[in-house]
Amino acid sequence: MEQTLALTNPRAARPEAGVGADRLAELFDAHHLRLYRLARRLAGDPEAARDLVQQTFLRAARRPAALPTGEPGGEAWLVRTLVNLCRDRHRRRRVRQAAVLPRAVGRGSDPEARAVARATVAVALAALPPRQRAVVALHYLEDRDAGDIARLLGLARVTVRWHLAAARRRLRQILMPEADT
Amino acid sequence: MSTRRTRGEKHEHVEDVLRRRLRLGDPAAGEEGPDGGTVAAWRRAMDEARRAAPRGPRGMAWLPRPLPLAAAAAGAAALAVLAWLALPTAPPEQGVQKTAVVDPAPAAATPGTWEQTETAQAPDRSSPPAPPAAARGEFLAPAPGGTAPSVASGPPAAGPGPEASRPVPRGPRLLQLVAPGGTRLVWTFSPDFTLPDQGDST
Repeated sequence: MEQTLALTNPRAARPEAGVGADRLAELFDAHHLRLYRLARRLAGDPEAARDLVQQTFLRAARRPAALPTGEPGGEAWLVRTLVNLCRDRHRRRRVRQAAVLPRAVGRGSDPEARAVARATVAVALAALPPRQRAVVALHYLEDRDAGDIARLLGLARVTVRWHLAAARRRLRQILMPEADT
Repeated sequence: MSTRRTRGEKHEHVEDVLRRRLRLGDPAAGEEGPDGGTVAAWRRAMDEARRAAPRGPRGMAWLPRPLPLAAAAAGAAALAVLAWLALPTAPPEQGVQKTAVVDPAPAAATPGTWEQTETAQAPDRSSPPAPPAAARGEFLAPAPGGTAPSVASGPPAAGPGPEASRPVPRGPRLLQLVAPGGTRLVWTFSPDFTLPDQGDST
């Protein structure tokens, strides 16, 4: 942890970095952890999540002028970039996961039930298009309301609600099979 | 006691179950996040990318936004239109049709005199601007039958001789200007076009 904290304060070490570097470092310090969590939910595996976060900040570093000023704008820019990168990755791969038969999500706290739950949720999230996946992650796992999600993703509020409804239908089939029988 | 749920209650129930099950299998749950080495690697890569980003007048980093291709195309089109409008031409007269062609062999054209263009009797801008050093003007003889001639001829008699001695062409008359770059401007005068100052010259 000390190593991380020491590394997250590069401005004192490099005063020539400039205002753009300061802004970039501030955004990195403030958001890299939650961006990683979001990427982890969007991408499924840790390696892909790390790659997505790195690509996001690389894109910001290559185009510092594209970063909006102000905290909400910077956060929204990073989230949108991450989701767009996830969509690009999704398009490139075009590999649909094999139709793993969904199992009821374990309700117990034992490791086996937890592993089953994670696998099932991973299948359910992978069944969604990347943007719907982002909406689901922000709504159900980060407790953000539709207005906040709309701001972060640059969408209209009604579009967010549409994505949520569509995702809910799909998730119900996988995560709540008993409700459809 | 009925156990049937209303539509709203059912929606709430589905929301609640989905939320709980998603959180139970949250891929990011229980993770501490990236370790220090990963964060350091991210930061290094970010700094290198920022240093490698083009800056200054030779790069694009000075632009607040990347220039869209459509805007660049529109700008080029506007410049082309401005360049066309900036050509030294007189305003079109009634009965005069102006065309422009690129002469593949401008050297073959016979130079003439600019005085011929003044016979068009244009208003204030009728007299052509001072031509470039290599610009040439000439009359082209009308082809028999009223078609454009294929070979340029010399200027018609424009001297102070008697007006009656000037041959009156029956077909369309052409006036051509050859610019230094090889661009040729051709005015086509209809046979009915008359010059108001004819006969006034002394």
